[in-house]
Amino acid sequence: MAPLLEVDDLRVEFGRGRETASVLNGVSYHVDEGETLAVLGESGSGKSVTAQTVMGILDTPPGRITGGSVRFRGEELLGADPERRRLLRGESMAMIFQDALSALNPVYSVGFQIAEQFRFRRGMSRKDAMVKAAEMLDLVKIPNAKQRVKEYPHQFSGGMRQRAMIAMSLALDPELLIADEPTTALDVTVQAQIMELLDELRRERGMGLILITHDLGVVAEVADRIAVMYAGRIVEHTDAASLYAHPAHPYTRGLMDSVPRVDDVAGAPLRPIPGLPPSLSAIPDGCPFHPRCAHAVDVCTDEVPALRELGSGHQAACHFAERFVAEGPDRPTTHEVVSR
Amino acid sequence: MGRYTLRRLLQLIPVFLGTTFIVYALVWGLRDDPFAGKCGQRECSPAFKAAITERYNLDDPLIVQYLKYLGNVLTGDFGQTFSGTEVSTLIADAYPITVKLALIALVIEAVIGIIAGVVSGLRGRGFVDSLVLVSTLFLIALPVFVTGLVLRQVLGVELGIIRTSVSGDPSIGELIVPGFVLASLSMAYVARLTRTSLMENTRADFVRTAVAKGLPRRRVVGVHMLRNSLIPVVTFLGTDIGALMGGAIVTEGVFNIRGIGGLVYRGLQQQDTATVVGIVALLVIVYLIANLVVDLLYAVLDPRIRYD
Ligand SMILES: Nc1ncnc2c1ncn2[C@@H]1O[C@H](COP(=O)(O)OP(=O)(O)OP(=O)(O)O)[C@@H](O)[C@H]1O
Ligand SMILES: [Mg+2]
Repeated sequence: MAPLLEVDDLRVEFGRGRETASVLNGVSYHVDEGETLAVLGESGSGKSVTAQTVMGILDTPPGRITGGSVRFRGEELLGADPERRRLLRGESMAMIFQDALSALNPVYSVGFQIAEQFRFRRGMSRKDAMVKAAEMLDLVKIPNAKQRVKEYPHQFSGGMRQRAMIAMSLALDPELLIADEPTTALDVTVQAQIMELLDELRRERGMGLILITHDLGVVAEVADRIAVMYAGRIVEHTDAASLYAHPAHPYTRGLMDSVPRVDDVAGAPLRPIPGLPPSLSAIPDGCPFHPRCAHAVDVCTDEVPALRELGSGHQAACHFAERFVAEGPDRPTTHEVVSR
Repeated sequence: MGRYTLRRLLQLIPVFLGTTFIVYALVWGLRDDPFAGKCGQRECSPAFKAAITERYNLDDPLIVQYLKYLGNVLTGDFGQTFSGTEVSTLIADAYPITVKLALIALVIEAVIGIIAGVVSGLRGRGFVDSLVLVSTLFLIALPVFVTGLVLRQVLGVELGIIRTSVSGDPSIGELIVPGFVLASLSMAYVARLTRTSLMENTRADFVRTAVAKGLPRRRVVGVHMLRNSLIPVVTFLGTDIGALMGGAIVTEGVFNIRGIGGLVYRGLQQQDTATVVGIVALLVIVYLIANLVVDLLYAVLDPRIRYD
C-alpha cells in the first residue's frame, strides 16, 4: 500500500536570475499512518518550505516548485486542482505553526477560529460549531473550555495558544499532522507538556505526524524515524535508535556534538559546527557540506554524494558514510547517557 | 468601557470651553473698537451702539461676556445677529444641509475608496493597481476647489447634467456631485490606506493559517484579511467626519449650497460674532463626538484594545 505521504525529489526555488535561491534541492521523505517522522536541521535548511509545499500553502510567487512530486495516499498533489487541494487541507492534512500568537487572528475569538472549520467544511450552524469548538479545547486539555472558547488569542498564555492551535488543526480529524517547531516559542516545562499532548493525540487517532524541530532531545523521545536536512536536501535518514548509535553524516554528528549535555563539565566550551550554512543562491559544488566538514577530501569538492542505502533502512548522503557508521558517535549522546 | 466613555465625555468639557473661548476672543475681544466697519462707511449711531453693547454685554470684561454668552448657548439661546435674526434659526436651516453633504461625501469616500483599495491590493501589480495609484495621486494633487470648479463647468454648464447651483433644500441627488468633490481628497487617501493595509495582511501568518485550515478563498479574504485591514481605515473615516464638515465651506461656495460654510463665511465678513461662535461651537462638538465614537469603535474592531 502507498504510504500516507510521499515526498519525492522535491525542488523549490525563490527569486529569479542570478538571485535565484535553490531552497529545496531534491527532498524525499515519507510518512506512514500512525508514525512520527522528525525533520531536523539548521535554520534555513528548508524544513518549513517543504511543509508548506506539502500543504499547498507556499507563497508562489516568490516561491516556485521546479520539480518532484508530493503524493498523499498515492494521489499526486503537485499540479492538482486547487479546489481539490483546499479540500484536503484540514480534512486530510493539517499544520501547526511555530508562533501561535501570530498564527491566530487577533481580532476573532479562539472559538470562532476553530468553529469556522465546522461551519464552512461541515456545514454546521454557528451555535453547534461553537459547541464543537469548546469540545476541541477540552480535548487539548484547556481548563474551563466552555468559557475560554469566547476569549481572544491575546488572553491566552503561550502554552494555551499552542494548545488552541493544536485543537484547530485537529478539528476536521486529519490523517496527517505537520507540526512546524510547535514548541520553539515556549518555555521548557510547557514544551514537554505540548510534546506529550501531541504524541498522545497522534496515538489515539492513528495520525501520521511530521515533527519539524531543532531539539534533538525531543526527537529521541517521540520520533520513529528522523530525516536530517541540510541546504535543501535530506542528508541522513533512519530510525531514531540507529541515528543515535551510528550517525553516518558528519553534519548529523556535528549537530549531536553541538548540543550541551547534562554530563558536560560546568564551563565546558560549546561545540558548534564551524562555519555557516551555504548561501542558497551559491551552493558549493560537490557535497554542500564540504566547506564545514573536518573530514572533507578531494572527492567531496567534486562529486555530489547521493542519498544511499547503508542497510536496514539507514540512508545517508556522504561519500564515507560506511566509515562513520562503523566508528559510532564522537561521544555518547545525552539520550544514551540517560537510557544506560 | 462605561467608565472610559464617561471619562472621555468629561474630557470634552475643557476642550469645548477652550476652543469656543478662543473663537469668541478672536472675533470679539481682540479688536479695539467692536463697531469698526459695522455700519458701512458711517459711524454707527449711538442708539445702535447702546443696543449692541447691551445685547452682547460689551461693557463687561471679556471673560464675563463669554461666560454670559455660554450660559445662553447652554439654554439653547444662540443669540441674534446684528440685524436681529435668531442665530439658532440660521443654524437650524443651514446645518442639516451641511450634515447631509458631509454624510454623502463620507459614504462616497468609504465605498469608492475601500473598493478601489481592496481591488488594487488584492490584484497586486498590474493595470488596476496602476490605475488606482495614478488616479488617487491625481486627486491628491488637485486642490478641492479646482476639482469642484471643473466638474461644475463640465457637468453643469457644458453637459447640463447637473444644476450649477443647488436648491435651498437640496435632495440627495443634487448633492452627489458636490459630495464627490468634497470627498475626493479623502477618497484617495482611503483607497491608498486600504491598499497598503491589505497588502501587509496578505502575507500575515494568520492568513496563512486560514488557508491551511482549508477555508474557501472568499472567507479567507473577506473575513481574515479584510477585518484586520479595515481597522486603520475606519479610524481615518471617523476622524474625517469633522474635517468634511469644516471642508464643506469650499465645496458649498463652488456649488452655491446654503450650508454652514456660507454662513460662517458671511458671518466672518460681517464680523457677526454670534453666528461664527455658534457654528464653530457646533463643529467642535461634532468633531469631538466623532472622535470618541471612533475610539470606541476601535475597541470593538480590535479586541486587543481595552479601555478601562
Ligand atoms: N517567502 C519567501 N521568500 C523568499 N525566500 C524564502 C521565503 N520563504 C522561505 N525562504 C527561504 O527559504 C529558505 C528555507 O526556509 P525555511 O523557512 O524552510 O527554513 P527552515 O528550515 O524552516 O528554518 P527555521 O528553522 O529557521 O524555521 C531560507 O533561506 C529562506 O530565506
Ligand atoms: Mg521553519
